[in-house]
Amino acid sequence: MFQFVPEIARRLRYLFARKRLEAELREEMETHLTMLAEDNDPAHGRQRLGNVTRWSEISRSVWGWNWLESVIGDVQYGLRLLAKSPGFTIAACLSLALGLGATIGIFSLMNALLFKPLPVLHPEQLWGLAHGDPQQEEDNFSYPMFSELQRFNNTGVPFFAVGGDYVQVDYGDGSIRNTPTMLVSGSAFQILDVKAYAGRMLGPDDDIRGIPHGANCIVSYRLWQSQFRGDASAIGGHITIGQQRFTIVGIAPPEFFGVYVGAYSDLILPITAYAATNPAQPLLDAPKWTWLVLTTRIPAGMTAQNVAAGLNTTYAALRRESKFADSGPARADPLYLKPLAQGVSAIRNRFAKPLYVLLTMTGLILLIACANIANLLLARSVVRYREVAVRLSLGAERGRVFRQLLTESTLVALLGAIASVPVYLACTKGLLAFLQSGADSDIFLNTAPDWRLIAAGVGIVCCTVLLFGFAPALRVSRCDLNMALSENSQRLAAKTSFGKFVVGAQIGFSLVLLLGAALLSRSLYDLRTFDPGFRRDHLLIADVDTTQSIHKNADVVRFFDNLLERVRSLPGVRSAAASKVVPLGGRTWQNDYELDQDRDQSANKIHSYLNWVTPEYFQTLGTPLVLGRDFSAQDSASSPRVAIVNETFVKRYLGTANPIARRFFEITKGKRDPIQIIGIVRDARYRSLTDEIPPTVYRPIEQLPTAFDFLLELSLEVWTRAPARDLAGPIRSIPKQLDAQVSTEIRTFDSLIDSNLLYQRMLTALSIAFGAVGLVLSAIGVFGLSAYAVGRRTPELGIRMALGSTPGEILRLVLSEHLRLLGLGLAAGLGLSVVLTRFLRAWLFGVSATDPILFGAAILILSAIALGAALVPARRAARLNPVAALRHE
Amino acid sequence: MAEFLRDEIPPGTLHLLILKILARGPNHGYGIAQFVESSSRDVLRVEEGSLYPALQRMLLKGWVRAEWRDTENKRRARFYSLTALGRKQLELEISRYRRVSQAIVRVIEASS
Repeated sequence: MFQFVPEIARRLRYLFARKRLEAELREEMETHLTMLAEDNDPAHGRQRLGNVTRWSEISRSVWGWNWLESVIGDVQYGLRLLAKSPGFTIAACLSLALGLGATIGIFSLMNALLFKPLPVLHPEQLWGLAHGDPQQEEDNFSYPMFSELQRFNNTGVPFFAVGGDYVQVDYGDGSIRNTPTMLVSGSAFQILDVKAYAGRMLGPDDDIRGIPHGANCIVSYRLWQSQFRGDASAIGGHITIGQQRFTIVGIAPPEFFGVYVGAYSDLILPITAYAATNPAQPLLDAPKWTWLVLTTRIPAGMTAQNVAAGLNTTYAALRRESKFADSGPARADPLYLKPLAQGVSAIRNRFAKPLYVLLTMTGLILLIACANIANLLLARSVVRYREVAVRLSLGAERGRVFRQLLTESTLVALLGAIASVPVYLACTKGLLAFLQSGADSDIFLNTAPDWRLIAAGVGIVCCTVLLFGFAPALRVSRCDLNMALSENSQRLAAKTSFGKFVVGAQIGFSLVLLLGAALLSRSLYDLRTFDPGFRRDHLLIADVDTTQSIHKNADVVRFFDNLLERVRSLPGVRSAAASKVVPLGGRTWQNDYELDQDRDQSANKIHSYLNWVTPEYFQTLGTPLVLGRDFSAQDSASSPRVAIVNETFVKRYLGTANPIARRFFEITKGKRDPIQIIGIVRDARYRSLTDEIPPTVYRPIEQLPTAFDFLLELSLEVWTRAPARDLAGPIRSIPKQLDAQVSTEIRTFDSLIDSNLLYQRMLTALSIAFGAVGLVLSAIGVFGLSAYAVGRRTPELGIRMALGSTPGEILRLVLSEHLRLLGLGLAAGLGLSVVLTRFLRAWLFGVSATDPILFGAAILILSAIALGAALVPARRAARLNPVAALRHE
Repeated sequence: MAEFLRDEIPPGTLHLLILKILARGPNHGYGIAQFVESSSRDVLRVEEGSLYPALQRMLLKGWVRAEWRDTENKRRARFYSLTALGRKQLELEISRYRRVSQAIVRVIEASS
């Protein structure tokens, strides 16, 4: 056994002492010959004298390092060749570096977001409970559902609940900060199998209703470093959230960012302790608040189906007892389990698609860059035909020549890969910053390289070598000796079909990129200019939060009345209003109503979006009142309930009859409250610029039910004369003058629209950049091919001219070849575009993914540029001096 | 053209011959070649192009070791000698050779 171990050691020794051992071999041979000569006649010895080199070479080959030496030789030779043409080398490496860096950079984000498992042991055993739509986020269980399911769980597999929130934390040193927080049930860390970095993690004892063992919490390693400066005495320290003081009992391990991919949970609280921070909220008893993810670990030997079946029995029984009656209609679906190895992510669905689009774009750029390098290599390889032919005729093996040529391409790829590292890092950082700029919370993605990233990187680099190195190397090493060695150097380069194919493909890929850029730009333009149902500028939004100061609703109403009065009296303010929901803010308020008593059940029930607004709201936003009247001071909490509805609401639910004075009903606590329609407004966007306009009901803010503290946070809309930004300062100071405890955040409506369009803007900007790069690279490719073709045909063209062809005919002759190529490339590109632009649909607005005008424009632009690039060498050909051309050979 | 009548060593037996010769004592490459020729009464001949690669291979396998020493003629030459592993290998090769050659003989006699 293992006899090969010392053998390998000896072989390695031979590798490193190669020079000395070779000298020894030679000496041995010389001695041998001398002895032979001494013993026999001298002629006998001399006859064999020439063989010393050969013997020692054969002997040496036994060591088994010849391949390595030939590789080193190839590399040295390749490097010398690359150094000889620095222009080619730099151009090839730079274009590769850009393509590779961008592609790998985007992949590193996708890796962190989609593929990396959670930093816990055996993440593949983690499963999330789900019901209903598989596309939905996982957090759709309420606390009552969780506790009932857990209480009657008889599958033997425990599960835990986890929720996420941003929590205002008082760290006791004067700093109150909004902290990303993970809320867990007691068995979370037993199931996740995470051990504390210091202190202990939370356990079942910490999560008992009423928290008899006190409110305990865990801080993340990151927070421990930043807030507590890594001081061990942080354990046992206190923080305060709302009305509850927490004791820090442990520090989470450094790699544990939580179960939320895309966020870093700095604080971990037991759910029951969290509920104690705001006793007014029935967090633990509200069956409608579905905010928890239920997670379980299924050990080896059990299947998800079995566990799900077990849970469903319990679930069905609980439902029969109508434990979850209030949890909404979708809850009748059975439970199932979905893999949770990659964690829970609220941003995954939102970011994955744009990343895939970007990856496709950079992939296309990389392909185009590879095509260019392939063409350059091909052009160079033709120059080297004769060199290769000589080497082949001197007995070099074809495989050996092929390997040498491939080594050269590999070197280019490796240099490009090395140069791509800073590009990749910058790309990852830039994209993260871009994603962050559009998010309302801190985004954390662990983009540290792992084996997936490295494998992808190596794979992509290998693919590029195959793409641009393989064909030229294969072609040259297959060269026909007779042809290559004959004097006619024109004939040997006659076959340029591969070059044409490459350039055709380039044109096709460029068309896809160009079309993507055109579609996205067009739709961004539309998004920026279409009428969303309200004005886009001269609007200022002030989010006013009074939760820290006033607690009585009557006070709040008076406070906002005062506030609006003051704002309206500011110079430069045209009008001002307040609302519960800001349009395009991403939030919605939805409600069910009933139309009439005499209708049948299903048609009677309607669903509508809702906003609570003050008088002057429509005037301020610029949404015209089509019919009826605006709200006024008379529409108060004590007056009859009234509403203004939008045109879609009328169209969908009320038909053609005059809807003014019509009534619909709200069901509250089994009672039907009538609401009278007093006006109709023009349709306006609600959640975002791109979401369909929903049926919308507007109601006076003073008639907002007072059960919850909804009035404590309202938004002011202010229509200004001057640019909105100019009034930010004065408006910000007014709430503070009325009440020092009130906090105000000011945004312009423009910036709200901008953040609405963030992904469109990002994709459009990048697609234009990629489209331009693709265009330039393709133009270079076409130019190269054309110049090469003209150079090759110079004598032929000379003869044609000598025989009477006009420059115009020559031009047409040269260009016709490219026209065919262009046509083929465009056709292929069109086919590919139809397939690929479909994936852009999610970001296209007001334009079809196959818009004929844009397709036509893209084709025109690309054709013009490709023809222009081809024209430069063609015109040179047309201006040839026939005598000089014929002498060319 | 006397050499042309000499036979090449049958394939697979070169290691055996070298090991056997080295079993008698350390020797250099030329000495091994000479010994093969003389002891086979000039029937067998070792090509230098096979002898030295074979020696390198055996060095790698650890069957022989080499050291530079002076010959009787005061010439520096590389002397090969058998290692313990080499001795074991020799026994193995001899028994294998016997087995094969007996089998060949049997085949020849059966068919004649």
